[in-house]
Amino acid sequence: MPPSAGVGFKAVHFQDALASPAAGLWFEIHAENYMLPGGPRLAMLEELRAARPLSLHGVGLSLAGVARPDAGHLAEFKRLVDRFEPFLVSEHLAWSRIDGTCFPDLLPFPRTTEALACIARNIDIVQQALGRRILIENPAHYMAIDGHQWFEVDFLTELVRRTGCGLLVDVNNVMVSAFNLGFDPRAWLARVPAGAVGEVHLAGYTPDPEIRMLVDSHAAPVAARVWSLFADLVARIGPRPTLIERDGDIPPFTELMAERARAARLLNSRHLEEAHV
Amino acid sequence: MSELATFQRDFAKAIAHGTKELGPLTVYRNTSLSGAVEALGDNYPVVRAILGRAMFENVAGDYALAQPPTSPVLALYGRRFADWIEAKTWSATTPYLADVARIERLHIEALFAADAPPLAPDALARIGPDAWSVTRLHLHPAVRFHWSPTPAMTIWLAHQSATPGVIEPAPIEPDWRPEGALFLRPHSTVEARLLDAPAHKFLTALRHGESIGVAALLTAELHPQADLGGLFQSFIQAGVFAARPDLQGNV
Repeated sequence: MPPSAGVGFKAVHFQDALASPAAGLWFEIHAENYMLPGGPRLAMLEELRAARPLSLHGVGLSLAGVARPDAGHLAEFKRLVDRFEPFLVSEHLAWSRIDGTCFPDLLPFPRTTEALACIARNIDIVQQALGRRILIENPAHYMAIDGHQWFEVDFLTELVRRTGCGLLVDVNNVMVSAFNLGFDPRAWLARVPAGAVGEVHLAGYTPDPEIRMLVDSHAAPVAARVWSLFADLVARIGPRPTLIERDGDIPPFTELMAERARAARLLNSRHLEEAHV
Repeated sequence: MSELATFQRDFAKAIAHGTKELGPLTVYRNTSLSGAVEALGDNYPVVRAILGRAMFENVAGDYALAQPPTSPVLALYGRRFADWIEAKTWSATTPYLADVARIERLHIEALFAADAPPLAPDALARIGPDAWSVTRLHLHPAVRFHWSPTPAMTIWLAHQSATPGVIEPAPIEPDWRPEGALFLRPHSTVEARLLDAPAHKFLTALRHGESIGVAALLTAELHPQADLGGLFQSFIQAGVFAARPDLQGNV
């Protein structure tokens, strides 16, 4: 089956999600929302999984943290991987935990060679524990940080080389970061090693006029500029499983599916082109 | 200490105690804080309905700064929220609020507790009269119960709508007396009930590991008028106990 498009799963869409006849549809869930002993939320996920492939997206492993991944959290992560057998597993190039406190966010750090070694070790630990490759996602940036020794894409590429992980390219995050930090999103995307990309994320951003930044809110439809960057990326690297993410101001399922259909058309046309060559 | 560790400790301090001035740091500060505040709102929807959204966000924001999440799993965030509310001087005029928060905590614990089959209603059918004083039952893992000095469960129940999880505003006008709350989830949905004093005493004794017979005696000492047989049957019917394969039909 060619790589297809998926939708971020929301409990309010459960019945629509089960009933959807869309070919190749899959869903992504945030792992941490399902790290529970039991109950109806997990039962719902069982039903969804019986109907569709799942992608498991972690937001709390704190891979860029100085500490090793929390053993209890990693064990919970593995339980979900074993139980729901996702076709993709991903996490972020960010940290969210230090000295026992967790921040429900994806925090930045200076991309130094020291950080690289630490993150490579953490990715190794996770991949060993899960017994499979994970994909690492580029987060949205809001702050120019002193002390970077590595360009972000090169840093990610080096992590791929050292750990065998893959990449999850979030095109909206590239767009948001490029606007906030003042770089060219096309140049960023052009450097991404095609062979390493295992998944693409598409989402909407919200402008914050007070601080003159774009915020990766996932609370709006995918922007025209992001669609255009995505089309260029697919044209260069070929089709990859692509997710429409929405976490705020959740629209009816059909609206998300319309965005998903647009992504699927792009992936399909590219897939057909490749088949013709 | 490594440079990375120093950077992260400083950054954590800056977003936890940072000033409210506008800048890039506020995006991280706001995202972090609103993640915790939203999780508290999800876990304490009746407290939010009682306080109103604006007041709740202030209160939850203060709590999130004082007791930040210690796990990335936020489904059970806010374990100390009720005690924290109780310790605040502003809550003195609404003494039931902390008790309602305690009820909401029981509710989410019941919602997310481990799945297990309940004891079959006929499991004890063949127990002889001598066996009651030595037969012990485990409560089902999703059972949570509690005695409140205020009618917090009546207030909680009044805020529930026909759709699970959807909270409706309700006037706060119960009879001002203590009462008990029971949550259970023998199958997929959580059931919520008021508990009277005998039922609470009976369940407490069972939770402490007393046999059925001893739990009934202890309850009868305090509440001689209580219909203990009927009460025990109602527990069985409701699915209060965990299944015991050894008891299924061959005692």
